Amino acid sequence: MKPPLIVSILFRQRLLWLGLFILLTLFFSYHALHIKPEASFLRMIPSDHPYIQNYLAHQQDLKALGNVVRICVATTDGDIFTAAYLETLKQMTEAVFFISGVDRSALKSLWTPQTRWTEVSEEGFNGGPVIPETYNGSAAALEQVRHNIFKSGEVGILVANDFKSSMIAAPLHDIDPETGAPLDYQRFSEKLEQIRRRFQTNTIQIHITGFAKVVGDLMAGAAQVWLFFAIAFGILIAVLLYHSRCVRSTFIRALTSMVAVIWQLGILKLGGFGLNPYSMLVPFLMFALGVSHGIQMFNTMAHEMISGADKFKAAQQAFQNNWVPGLAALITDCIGFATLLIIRIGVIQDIAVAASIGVAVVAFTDLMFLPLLLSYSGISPRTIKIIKTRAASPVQQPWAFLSRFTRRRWAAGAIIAAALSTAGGIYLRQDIKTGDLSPGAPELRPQSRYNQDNAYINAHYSASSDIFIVMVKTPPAGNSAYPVVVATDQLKWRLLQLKGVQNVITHVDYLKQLNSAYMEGNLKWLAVPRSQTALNNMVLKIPPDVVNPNGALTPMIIFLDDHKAQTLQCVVDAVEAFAAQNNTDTHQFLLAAGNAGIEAATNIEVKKALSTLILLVYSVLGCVCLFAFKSIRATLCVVMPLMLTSVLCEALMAQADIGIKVATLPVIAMGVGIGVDYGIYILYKLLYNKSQGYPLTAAFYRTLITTGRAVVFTGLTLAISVATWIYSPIKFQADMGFLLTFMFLWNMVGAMVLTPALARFIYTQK
Amino acid sequence: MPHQRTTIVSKLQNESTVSRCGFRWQCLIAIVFTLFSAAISAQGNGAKDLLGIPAQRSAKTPASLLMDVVNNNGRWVVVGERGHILYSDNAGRHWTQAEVPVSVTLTAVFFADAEKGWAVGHDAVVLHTCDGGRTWQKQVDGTQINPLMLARLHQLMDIKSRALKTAQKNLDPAQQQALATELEDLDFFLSDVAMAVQEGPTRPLMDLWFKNAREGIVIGAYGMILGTTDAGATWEPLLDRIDNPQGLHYYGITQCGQALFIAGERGLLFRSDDWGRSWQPLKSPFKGSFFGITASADSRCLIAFGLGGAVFYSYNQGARWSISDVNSQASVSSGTVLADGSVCLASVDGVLMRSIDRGRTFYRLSARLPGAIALDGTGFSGLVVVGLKGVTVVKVED
Repeated sequence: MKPPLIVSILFRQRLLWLGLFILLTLFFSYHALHIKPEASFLRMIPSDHPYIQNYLAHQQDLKALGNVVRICVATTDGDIFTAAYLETLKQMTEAVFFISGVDRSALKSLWTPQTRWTEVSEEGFNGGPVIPETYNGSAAALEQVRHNIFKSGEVGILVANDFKSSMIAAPLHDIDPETGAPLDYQRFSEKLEQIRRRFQTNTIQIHITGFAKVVGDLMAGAAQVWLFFAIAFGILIAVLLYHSRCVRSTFIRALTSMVAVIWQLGILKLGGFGLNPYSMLVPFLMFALGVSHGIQMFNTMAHEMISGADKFKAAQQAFQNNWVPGLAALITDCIGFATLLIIRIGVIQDIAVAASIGVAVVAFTDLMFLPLLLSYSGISPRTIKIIKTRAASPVQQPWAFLSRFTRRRWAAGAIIAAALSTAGGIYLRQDIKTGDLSPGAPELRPQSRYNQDNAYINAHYSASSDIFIVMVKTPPAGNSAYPVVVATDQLKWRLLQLKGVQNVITHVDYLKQLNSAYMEGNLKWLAVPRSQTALNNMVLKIPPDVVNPNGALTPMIIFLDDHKAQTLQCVVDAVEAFAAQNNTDTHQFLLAAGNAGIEAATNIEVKKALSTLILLVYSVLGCVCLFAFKSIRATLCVVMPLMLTSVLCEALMAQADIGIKVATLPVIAMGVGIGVDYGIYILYKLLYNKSQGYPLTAAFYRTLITTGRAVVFTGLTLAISVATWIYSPIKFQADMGFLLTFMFLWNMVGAMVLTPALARFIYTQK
Repeated sequence: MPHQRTTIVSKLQNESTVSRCGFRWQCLIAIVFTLFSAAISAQGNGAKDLLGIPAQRSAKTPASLLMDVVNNNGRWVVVGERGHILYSDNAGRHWTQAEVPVSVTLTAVFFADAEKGWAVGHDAVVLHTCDGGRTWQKQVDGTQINPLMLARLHQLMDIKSRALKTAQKNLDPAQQQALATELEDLDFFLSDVAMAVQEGPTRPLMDLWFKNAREGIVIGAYGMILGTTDAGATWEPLLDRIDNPQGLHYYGITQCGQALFIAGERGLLFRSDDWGRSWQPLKSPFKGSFFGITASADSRCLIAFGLGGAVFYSYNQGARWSISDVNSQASVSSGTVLADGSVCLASVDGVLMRSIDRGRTFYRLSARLPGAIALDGTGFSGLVVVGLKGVTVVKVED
């Protein structure tokens, strides 16, 4: 029998190919070393969604609201009105002032000159800095500061409601105005930690929140990913060693899988991609995928060597036997991943690209590079002996047990159990939520330092950290037009009716206050003046962080209790309904900005994508199965167990309070996409054995001891590689790891138990 | 620092350096500007007018901005922002929102008897109820009141001009001089009101008082004062009955015995002994603004209060005023005299004060309600206070 062309091409020029692979590996290693973890905010949101488009179009106008780091300096010793506390605060304010990236002119704390008190009297406005120039730390001066704080209106904003802490609010430059370089969040966050270390004592506690800190913590968390990778690597090597008892082939297989990861990272870097906290999962999967294909290769080679082939012949035969099913499986995976491209969220597309590249790379490294290496190394004779005795033993216990699922009664039991689980799953998955459910920064764990800081600030200050912004768009200077003012105020009142809305701040509130202030602070004047002249004058007096100086885009800031999908949807619905009635050619109420507004858009997009994605993944897999088996019955045998897994996965999400979100969406496609391999392998071999004349149970037993063993190891290696993520400090990585582990394991069980059980009833005509 | 007003051109009158011509130009510019912005806002076809939008019902109304409260024989009625009117028959345990045809901010409410009442507010809106506050109808607003005021001023100008001609004929220089000054004042006032007519119903009514279910007076900003004798069907400006040529704001009106009192901006104090047909200025003890005035039921004590913690009392129908000891710098926004004769005040910083010596000295109550705007007695040793945070019932401890 003449080997196919590809086999002879590869094995006739072994050294040439080997050299090429090694050169490529060196080349990609160089580039892979330069790949950087990145956390681009824009790529985590559905940038094509109209809400996000609105936000992006007006991002410049919302800058004053945007990127602010809040450093809360709390004292455990009495209150903030002590000379020691104020001295610490002064030093900290100075330290923050000198961090590069801070917008120094807008920095605010009790010590900055723009923190002022004002008072209306019959002479008009009086005012001055909260800490006067004459401050000297004496009891009288402290009393003066206390008095000024009351008059400043900063209680609950800059000063805690319980007077045990105060804030340093540092707005940031996204782009350094001097150098033009974008803000380095990781370095910035590290600088903040230095300040924390320097000033935190037994009596001074420091709490830091803000988007920059979240990103910094995300990057720091992502850096720990290498640790998880090392752990997964270690476990997988142990598993390989246990499975093969062959040090040299284990080393070679681990090496080729590592090479797959290196190639993938190198190609990503060359393609201009970075590794974000979501796509970091992909190298883990590729490593595991490589290992599992390596197992198949190793198994075949070992059997060839038992049959007496030399190592070159065995390796060649292993390649010849495996490259077709291997490539088919990889192409299936690839299609499964590619479906993710339809979701227009950057990080998910990054996963799709990274995974597709990874799969292509595995085809080279573990289908070609590996057998080449094995053809030199061979397998240790001791291992061959072990495998030989194993194969010789008459009945192998776990497999014999599993093969019972092809008997009528066992099969019926399995199918009934599956049907009941499906029904139970459908019932339980009703509670599934969209979006992130935990308070604070959902990217990080609830008990993380950041979220504890955030909880402290939420508890002691008046403003919530869940902010939804509606943008009021008008012609320049049009935000003071009476109809705009009236409509804005009406929308505010409507929003205040909603459950979950704590407060709404608009420029109209300031207009009302100014109207009253101009009338000697008489509160009966606390209303929108109808006079356009008065409105036009007053709007100029509103602080620039509330209205944009050009008056064309004015934010309505909605403070929410939480960012649960339901709360956000309520706000979205109310604003949409109001906008439909009240938008005109000259003024529009646009959604959405603020962390909650962006999350609302993400939720909408993710929810929409979920059903499309499931439909697409299953259609694609159905087609692949139909193509592979040319049989509807076979397709049903493979796909139905996967559906059970999908339903159970959603039930698990509902019960474990994991929402449908950017991080969990890819899990669905990946879990199903990789899971389908198992079914295809098992059924393929089963039908083959059956066609050889074995009865179903015997055919399945024969399938189990060869392919089944490989499937179990594949399932385990994949599950192990993602399971380490459950301990990630990043919440969504943990969620992804948890769900993928579940899906990989359960898909394996489905393929080993349900596929044959279904086959028993579907192939009954004999 | 002078008052930072934008539309109140009449204020400029005080500054003698401003020439007539400059003033006219300012009027013209203001009018042109307003027409221009009106044109801009007219482009927006969805332009909404709060005078035409019925008040929305909401469970949050009792906690929203409220500006006045009245205990009308056990039924408490409160009015406030967005056309909110609420009433409670069980001492504030449960509030029912009334049907109101407008969404403007309401500033004051008054009942002539158990059924008939009126409420006034921004945009010079006057609302009327015939069923004790359950449903309200709009009687008039600034779009009618401003032209009424303007017409009245034109009429007065004519009368005075004719009188001036007569005086010129009679060669009476003293009267001539007096009339010329009066005419000049009137002209300023008229220009100011003319601008208001152009701008729309920009000016708020601040308080009201009714003698019975037919006769009453509403007062407000920029010298707005009107009377009715037919339960609000028609309104007549009372500009010639009261000497306020600068068009200062009237903030409070109250009855004390057989006399009526008005307090207002820059220490304005007036008394009327003929139920508002004519008003006499009182010698004011205060240069700053009064935010309100209240009187005891036995008519022996009159309390005027306002800017910067100013509180004055008079035991002789406003003839002489003495300063109260309140020890506070915060403006006093509201006051009431309880059934036991004690006087209670609320200031904008939320301090509630009580006097048991008829207004001479006040002590602070322990409750603190920042943004308090109005208060009334509950009828059982307590106060019902409204303000920025809605309505609160406070116990008055002895």
